[in-house]
Amino acid sequence: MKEQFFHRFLKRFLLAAAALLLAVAVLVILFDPFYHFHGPLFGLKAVVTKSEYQCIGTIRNFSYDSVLCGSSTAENYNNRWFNELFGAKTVKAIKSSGNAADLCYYLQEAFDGHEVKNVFYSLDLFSLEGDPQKNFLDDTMPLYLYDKNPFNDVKYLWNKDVLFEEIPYLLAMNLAGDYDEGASYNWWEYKTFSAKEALSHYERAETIQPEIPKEQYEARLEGNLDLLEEMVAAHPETEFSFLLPPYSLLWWDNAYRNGQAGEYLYARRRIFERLLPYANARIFDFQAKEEVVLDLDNYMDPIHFSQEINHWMAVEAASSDSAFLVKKENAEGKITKMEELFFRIVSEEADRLFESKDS
Amino acid sequence: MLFHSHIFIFLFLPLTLAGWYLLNRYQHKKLAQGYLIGMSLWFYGYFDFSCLWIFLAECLIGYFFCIQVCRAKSDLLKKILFFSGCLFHLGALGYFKYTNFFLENVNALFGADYPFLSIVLPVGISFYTFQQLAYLSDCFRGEYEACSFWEYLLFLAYFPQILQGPILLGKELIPQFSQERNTRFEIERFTKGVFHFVIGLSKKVLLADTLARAVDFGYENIPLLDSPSALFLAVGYMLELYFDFSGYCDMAVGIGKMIGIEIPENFDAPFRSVSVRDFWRRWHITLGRFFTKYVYIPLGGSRKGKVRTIRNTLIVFLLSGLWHGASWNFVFWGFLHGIGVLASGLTDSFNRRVRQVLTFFYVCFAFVFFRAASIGEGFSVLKAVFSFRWNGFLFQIAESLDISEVYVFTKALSMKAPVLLQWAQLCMLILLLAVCAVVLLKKKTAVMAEEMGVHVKRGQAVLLAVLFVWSILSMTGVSTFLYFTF
Repeated sequence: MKEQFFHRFLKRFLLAAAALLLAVAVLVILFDPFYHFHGPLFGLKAVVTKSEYQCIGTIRNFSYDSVLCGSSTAENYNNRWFNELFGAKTVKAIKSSGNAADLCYYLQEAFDGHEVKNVFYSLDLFSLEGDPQKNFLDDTMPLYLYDKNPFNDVKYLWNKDVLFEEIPYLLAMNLAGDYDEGASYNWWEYKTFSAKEALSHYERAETIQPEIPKEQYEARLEGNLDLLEEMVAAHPETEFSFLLPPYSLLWWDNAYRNGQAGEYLYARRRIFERLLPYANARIFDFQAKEEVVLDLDNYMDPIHFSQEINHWMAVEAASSDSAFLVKKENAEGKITKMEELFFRIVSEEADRLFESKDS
Repeated sequence: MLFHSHIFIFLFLPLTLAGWYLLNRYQHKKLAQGYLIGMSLWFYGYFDFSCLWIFLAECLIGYFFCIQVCRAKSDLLKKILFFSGCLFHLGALGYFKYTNFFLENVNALFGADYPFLSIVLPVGISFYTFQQLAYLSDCFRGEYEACSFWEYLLFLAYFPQILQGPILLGKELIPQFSQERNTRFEIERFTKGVFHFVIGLSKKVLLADTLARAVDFGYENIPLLDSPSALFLAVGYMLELYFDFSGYCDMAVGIGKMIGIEIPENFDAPFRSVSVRDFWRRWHITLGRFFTKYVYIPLGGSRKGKVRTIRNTLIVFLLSGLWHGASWNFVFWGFLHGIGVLASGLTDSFNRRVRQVLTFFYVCFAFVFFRAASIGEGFSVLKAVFSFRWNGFLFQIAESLDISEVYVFTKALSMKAPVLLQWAQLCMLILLLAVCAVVLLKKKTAVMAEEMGVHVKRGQAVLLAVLFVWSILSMTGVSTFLYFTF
């Protein structure tokens, strides 16, 4: 009698647990908020807000012909602009503070499963500082979404946050009706862009460090450029547009005081020298645009600019005769222009700004 | 490997149980023991393989001393071997766990600048060292005949207890390896094991880990603490620690029952204690037992006058503090408990409930030093408790709970009635504490497990399944990656 009770109890427990686990797994596979198994469910919009969790799924499972990649400076682009300006179907590949190796990992994933017509690559100078041999895939990331091991997918299938937060959020955004699919990973609407805000995020170093010698950064820089060059050379059918975003005068002032300005100016030169020879690579240099760089109202901190700047860059990149397009014949001029602006920033503009701030 | 991991629950445990019972069913008893040893070593070495070699070397050398102590003909040789064995075990523990603590103090005392050493700390070393010391000591006293090396190894490596105890005695575990009834699958014992495991899992994952978020947030912001938030921190951490550790022990007991080689309870409703002395009879019982039998009594216990009793009690608790962690705040924590134990008689005349409340708050406040990064930080928390200040920081602590089960509700509230949000979050925190209180007031897991089949409750199996699935779901979450960490 007692034995029968325990038999029945155990059977009921196992059946109920299996049924519940199965139900949750089916729900997650069906709605798949991280797009790990498939693209958006028929009739539902793609709600994409968490790059670490969703980027890899969208790259593997979405239907697209163009990739827009970069770090946080690329997050405020709207995919729709590129779709309209280039007649493309764009997906975003974002890694916050991503290095070249990180972004090349995403691009390789895209090339592996898709025919890619365009790559819009937001090329940050600091992204060439990282280790070219090492991408972001470490234990801090949800690796179960990146590897192709079906067994550790249990961490996604049976995940409380996915069940109670991500799926309801996906449904709520769809029900709300006005969700803009192109605005994936956008954060601009939650931020304030003003000189006051930008200055509040900048702590100016008292002392100026000596310039970092070239030997200390050259190997890494060239290693990262190797990655980009190899990618461009391996995909002659793909049009690569490298967009060099404009950083504020605070960023340049900081680079100067940290002894890194020489490194960044040299990186610009090497980008031009190494990528310009490729017919399928175009470089757009927005970094010396004084009206943007010197006007801190465009920024929320030394580096992050408003969405209008992203839009302006997208429009310029689509223009065949853009003044920002770097060509062999104007490359030296653009290098000089940036160097002049840099010297003006560190010798006049920044000091003037901080003197007026102090007074 | 952790009990509350997918690999353990869905792969390791089923594989271990299947192999163990199949081999025993076909009478391959030795092979079954070997299989259990192999699985235990996999469990132990899962995170860091290098620890496995250290563990095996310590077992081998420890066994050598036990054998030699058992075989020694003269008392002198026995003593020499016994003390050498103790020295070896304590030396290994000292080297791996306390070298840098020692260097830190030498540097501070003498203004020296000895660099810290990069020493791997084998997981569970404090537990298995004490088990080896206890076994060696029992051999020395002539309580055991020496067992085989494989039994000794299984006694130490047996996976339900290797990482966090309980600290077992050889006589509790080793005889079970060869008992026929333990190797047979018994549905009643197995089901009770499952029950124990699920209750332990949910204590750890649903209660301890949720509390931990708020407690960690509080400890990261000590300067902002006011009275209510500091009080929450003291009580919240005590509850977190209890549900974490007792949850782990419940899981260990449950797994022991599933396998058939059972391990004892380590907690006995400690928050019902009427004094600190009573608390230590109910909290981490096997550690208290170890210190009583192998330190306190050999020092003379309470038989040699008041002064010696005070001295012995303080020695035991200072050692206990040091055993818990290589830092002065642990030693201080041990000292506070020693004082608490010595002062236990002072409240004897009080009402039972009053004594329970006083004991609860005393241990909560003492455990502040267990959680704090330093003694100074511990005092900052206590100072905040008695500052009688209110700055609303409790709202932020409540927010940090971030309970995903109510995400839809809080999100809707944040859009429709944002002013109510922080009150709703505070209610969640109070609700969580209320749930903890209810769990504490309920019968112990062991009692509930024993009552299974006696008091049949409808839907109990389904309820247990819901708890299990809820815990499984809670083992993984979605982290927030900081946006601007360029």
